[in-house]
Amino acid sequence: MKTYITNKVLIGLGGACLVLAGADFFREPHGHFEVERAPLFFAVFGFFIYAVLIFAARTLRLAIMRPEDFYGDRATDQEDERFAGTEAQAKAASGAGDA
Amino acid sequence: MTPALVYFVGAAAVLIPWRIPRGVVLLAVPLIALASFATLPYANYNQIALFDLRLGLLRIDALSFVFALVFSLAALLSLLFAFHLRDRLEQAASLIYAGSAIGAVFAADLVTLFVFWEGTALASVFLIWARRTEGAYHTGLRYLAIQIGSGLLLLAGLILHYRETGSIAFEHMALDSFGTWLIFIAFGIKCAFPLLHSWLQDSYPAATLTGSVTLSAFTTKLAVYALARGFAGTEYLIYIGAAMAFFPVFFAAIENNLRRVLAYSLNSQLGFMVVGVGIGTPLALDGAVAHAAASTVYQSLLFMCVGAVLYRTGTDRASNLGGLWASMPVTMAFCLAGALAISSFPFFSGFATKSLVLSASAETGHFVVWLVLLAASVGTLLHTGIKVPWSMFLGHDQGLKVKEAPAHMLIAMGLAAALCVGIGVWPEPLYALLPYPVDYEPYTTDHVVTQLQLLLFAALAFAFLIRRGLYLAELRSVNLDVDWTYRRMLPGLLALVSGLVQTSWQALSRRVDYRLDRLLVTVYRTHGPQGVLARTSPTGSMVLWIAVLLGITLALTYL
Repeated sequence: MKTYITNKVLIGLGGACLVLAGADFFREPHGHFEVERAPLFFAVFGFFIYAVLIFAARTLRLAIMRPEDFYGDRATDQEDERFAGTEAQAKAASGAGDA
Repeated sequence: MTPALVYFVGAAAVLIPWRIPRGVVLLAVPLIALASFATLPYANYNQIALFDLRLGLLRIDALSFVFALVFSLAALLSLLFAFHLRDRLEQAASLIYAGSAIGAVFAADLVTLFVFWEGTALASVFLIWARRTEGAYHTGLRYLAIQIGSGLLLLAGLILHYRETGSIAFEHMALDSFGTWLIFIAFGIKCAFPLLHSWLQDSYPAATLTGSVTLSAFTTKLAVYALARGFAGTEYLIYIGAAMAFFPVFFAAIENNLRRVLAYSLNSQLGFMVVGVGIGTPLALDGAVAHAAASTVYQSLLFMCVGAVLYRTGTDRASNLGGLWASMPVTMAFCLAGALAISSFPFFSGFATKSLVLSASAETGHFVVWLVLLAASVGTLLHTGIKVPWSMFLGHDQGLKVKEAPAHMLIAMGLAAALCVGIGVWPEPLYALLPYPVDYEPYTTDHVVTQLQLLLFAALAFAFLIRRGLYLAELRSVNLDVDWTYRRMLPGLLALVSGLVQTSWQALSRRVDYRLDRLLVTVYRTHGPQGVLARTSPTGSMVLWIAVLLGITLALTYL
C-alpha cells in the first residue's frame, strides 16, 4: 500500500508542532479557566484526545458493527450505490452522456 | 408577501420541457425570493386575522433574516449543484422544501410555523424517494413518520399553549407547561437531539446525491432557529447540546458510508449551536446563529464533494474509495476547504463562529461543557476534517480513473469554498448581521496559537497512528444506532408477542375444543337418541305406577 504519510510529511508536521509548542511560551493567555493558562495544554489535549477517540471508536465497533445487509431490503445499505443519481445511472437511463 | 410563495410558484418551472432553460429558471427562483425580502426594513408584514387568531407570515428581524439569507444561499448552491438533473419531481421538491423552510423562518405565529414545518417534512421526503429503490422507499417512510410526528407534537403543543395563554404568537417560551414541553420536543426531533437523532443518519445517505446536499441545509437548521427563537437560555439545552456534539463523533469515526459520516458530523455541529442557544447570553446566541450560518455552507460543501465523487465513481463508501487526488484535484481542494472550515482552522469559517460558542461557555463558567466541546472539536477533525478527504482522495488507492466533477458542480463547490474562506478571513460582515452586537475578536495570538496546537497535535496523533497501522480500517459495514430499536428490536418484540399470543391462543382453543367435545359427548349420552333421559315409556306403565302409588297411600292411611 502506498503511504502518504512519508518521513518527510512526518518531519514537516513534527516541525510545525515544534514551532507551535515554542510559540506557546510567547502567547498571552487570556482564557477563563486555569487549564487554559497551563503550558501546552491544548497541544497535549489534542494529541491524547485524538488517540483516545480512535481507540474508543475501535472498541465501539466490537459492539455495534454489523454486516452491510443487516437491515435487508428496507435500507439502501446493500443496494447498488449507483442508484443515487450517478453518472452511470444517468447514462444507463438515457443512453447519452452527462451534462 | 412571504418569499415561500415565490418558491411555490417557481416550482411550476419544472414544467419547462428543456433541461437547460428549466435549470436557469430554477436558479432564478432563490434570487427573486431573496430580492423580495432583502431590502425590507425589520418589521412584521402580512398580518392576517383568521377567526380570532392573528397570523403573521413575514416577521423580519435580525434572527429570521440571517437564517432566511443562509437558506436562500443554500437553495441557490444546491440547485446549481443539481443543474444536471433531469428528475423534475426532485427539482420541484427541492424548491418547495427550501420555500417551506424560509416560510417557517419568517413565521410570526405558531400556526404558520406548523404549516411550513409540515411542508418541509412532506417536500423533503421526495428527495429520498427520488432514488426510486425499495430501500429508499422504506427509508422515506420511516423519515416521513418521524417528521410528521414532530409536526403533530408541535400542533398538539400549540393548541395547549393557546388554551393556556390565549396567544399563538411565536415568541420566547418557558418550559413550564405540558404544551411548551410538547413544542420543545417537536423542535428537538427536527434538531436531532440525542436519542431522537437517528432519522437523520438513516435518511440523508439514502437520498439521491443531489438530494442529500439539499437535505443537509434546511430541516435541522430550521430547528436550531426555532429553538433560538422559542427557548433561548433554557439550561437543559446546554447539556443536550454538549451530548449532541460529543457522541456522534464515535459513530462518525467508524462509519463507512461517507454521506452518513457527514450526517453524524452535521449532528455534532448542531450540538455546538444548541449549547449556544442554551447558554442564551448575547455572545452565545450570536455564536449559535453564526455557527448555523457557517455550518450550513461548509456542510453543503462537504455533501457536494462526496456527491461529486459519488457521481463520478458510483460509490460513497470509504472502503471503496481512495487515491482520487490525481483525477479530481479541484474537488479535492474544495473538499479540503470544507474540511478545514468544519475543523475550525484559523482563516476558515468554523474558526470565526464556533469560538463564539466556546468563549460563551467559558465565560459563563461551564467548565465541563467547555471541555466536552473542545474534545468534540478534536473529534470533528478526526471524522470530517481528516477522514472524509483522506478516504476519498488519499487513503488506499483503488485505481479509480474518473473525470473531474462537472463544471456546474465545481462552480457550486467553488462558491461554497470561497464563502468558507471568506467568512474565516473576514467575519465582520457576518457578525454585523447577528442579533446582538458582537464584541469578540477571533484573531488574537492566544486563540490562533492554541487552536493550531489543538488541531496540529491531533493531526500528529493521526500520522503516528496510521504509520503504526493503528488507525481505524475502513470496513464495509453498518453500525447499530438508536434506529435499531424501531427497525429491529420493536418489530422483533412485536413478532415475539404476537407469536406468544398466537401459540397460547391456539393451545387455549384446543383445550376449550376438547372440553366442549367431552361435554357434548356426555350430553349426547344422556339426551341423545339412546340416552337415559330420551327413553320412551308406554302410557300403560305410567298408569301402573300411579296405581301403585295410590295403593301405597291407601295402605299407609289404614295402618
